[in-house]
Amino acid sequence: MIAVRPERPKAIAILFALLAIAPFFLPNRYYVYIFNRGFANALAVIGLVILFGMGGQISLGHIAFFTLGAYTSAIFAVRLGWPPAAAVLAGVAFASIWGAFLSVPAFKLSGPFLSICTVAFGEVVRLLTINLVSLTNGPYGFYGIPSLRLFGRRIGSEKAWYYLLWTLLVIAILAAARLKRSYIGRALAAIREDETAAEVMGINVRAMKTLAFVCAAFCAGLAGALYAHMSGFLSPESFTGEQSFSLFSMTVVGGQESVLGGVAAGVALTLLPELMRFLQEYYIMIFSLIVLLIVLLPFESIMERAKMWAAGLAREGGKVPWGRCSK
Amino acid sequence: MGAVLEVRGLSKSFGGIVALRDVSLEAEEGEVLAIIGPNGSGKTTLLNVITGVYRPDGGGVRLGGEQLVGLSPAQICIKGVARTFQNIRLFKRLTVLDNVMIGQHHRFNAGTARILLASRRSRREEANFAREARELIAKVGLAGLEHAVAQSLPYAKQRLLEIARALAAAPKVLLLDEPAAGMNSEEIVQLEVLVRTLREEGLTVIMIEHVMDLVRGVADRVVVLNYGAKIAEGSFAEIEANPEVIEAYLGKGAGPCSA
Repeated sequence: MIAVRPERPKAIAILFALLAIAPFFLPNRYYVYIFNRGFANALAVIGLVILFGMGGQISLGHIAFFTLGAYTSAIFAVRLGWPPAAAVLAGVAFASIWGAFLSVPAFKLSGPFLSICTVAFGEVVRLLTINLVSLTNGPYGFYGIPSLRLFGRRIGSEKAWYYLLWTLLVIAILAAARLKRSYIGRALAAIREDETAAEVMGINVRAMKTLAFVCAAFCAGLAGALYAHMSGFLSPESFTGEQSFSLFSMTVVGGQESVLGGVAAGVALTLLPELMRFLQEYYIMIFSLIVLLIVLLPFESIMERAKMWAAGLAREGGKVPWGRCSK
Repeated sequence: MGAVLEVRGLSKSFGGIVALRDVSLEAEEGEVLAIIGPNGSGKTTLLNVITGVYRPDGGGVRLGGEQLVGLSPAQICIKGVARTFQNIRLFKRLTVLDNVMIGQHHRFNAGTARILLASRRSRREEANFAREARELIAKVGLAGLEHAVAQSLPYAKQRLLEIARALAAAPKVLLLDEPAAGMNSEEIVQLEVLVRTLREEGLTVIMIEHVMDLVRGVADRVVVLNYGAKIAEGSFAEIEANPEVIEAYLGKGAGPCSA
């Protein structure tokens, strides 16, 4: 019989300590910026882990929430002159509200039907960013978004952003992990496994789906709003369906249910293209191949694999058996 | 002692097929009521209507005087009716403990904010419910399997786990849909002891069952359904001798003395 072991807090603490000092060892500011992009993506992926991994609800238009958070925050800061921090909150709130709306189709739809619906939502948001020129400046892009100010200090440098995003990411990981181990996390898992049985066991399925969508939209919206102020410039071209699939594949590569796995995959799959620049136009091919291999090969996920490795090392003195992790 | 669960004139059709025809029955507090009947006689449909999975075409279901028809399955569970399924519907990939704790879902109070902050109250609540869940797991005879994945359990143990999950909802009425199906005689005895214990604790149990030894052993009263209608009601001995029941099971011309 298979038992489920708790995660290892010590190894995780060491990993995050390493990440905390990483900026001092990175060759230049550009790499710090790429890490920041990775952290922002990881934040959005945490939302997808909650929605898809825990709750089994598919969102293939997830970049839409990122976009909503980014543009709303930018519009509030630039057009209405709100302080950036307040604008970020507005962006997050707006994205979350749309998350709640998008949970309504999920009451009736599931699987491929729900994914088509979310793809459509993603496209609608993308087309709005292009066509609402008076608000978003359309295809010309949104310029001059002020950087964030927190506690009277301007978050200007890449390093400052690194630590801000890193802190938020750690908080989000803790929050998501707590949610997962709570009765809410169990209810989401129940809905994923058997919706009718969940309902019969006294779970308000609709409320839980709305909660999951709001959490997902909150995370993506926050990531988007921060991204807007970090990069200072938004273009509809950066928020395409491709980005949605990218976030989704990060979630799947990370093992769907695993918060840390999702974060690791989010950061890694953002860094990977940068590290593969030398491949030039072949990079997308190699990159896709790597993602495909990770998903299709015997490994169920990065985390599962790593756990197996650790267990195998301890047990068999270094031998790791090939083949699908037994579940 | 009054009726805890009262079913009045319940009807349900699927297209042209009448699954339930004006069925009425009562379950007294602390009794074990068995519902028997040939395949397709409407037993599971009755359970599905009581638990709100199907909406009846007519009639009512009252729990302690309160109307259940029109409520969602979740609301009905929260009011105090928990069930198991004929074709086991556990949360397969989750652990035994998680399955049982999902049954406790509606009894949790901590809000989302408390969970995210891991407040002392929410941690204490989680610990208390986990302890209770372990007790329930031990009670149905699955002690030591708390962290086993549900689908890795043998069939009979999965059935017991479903009972533990239903009990975790702290119901007033427990509905069991063929709990002994697929169990060997030893496991059926274990189940019989469990159902007796539950009755002694004052729980009302409504049990659909084909295994007559179990029905004889634990049922205070038996209701017989055939073609969606109630054809008999009484003690096991009365039912056993009822010519209409014998006809339903064995066909016309059969009787206790024939054959």
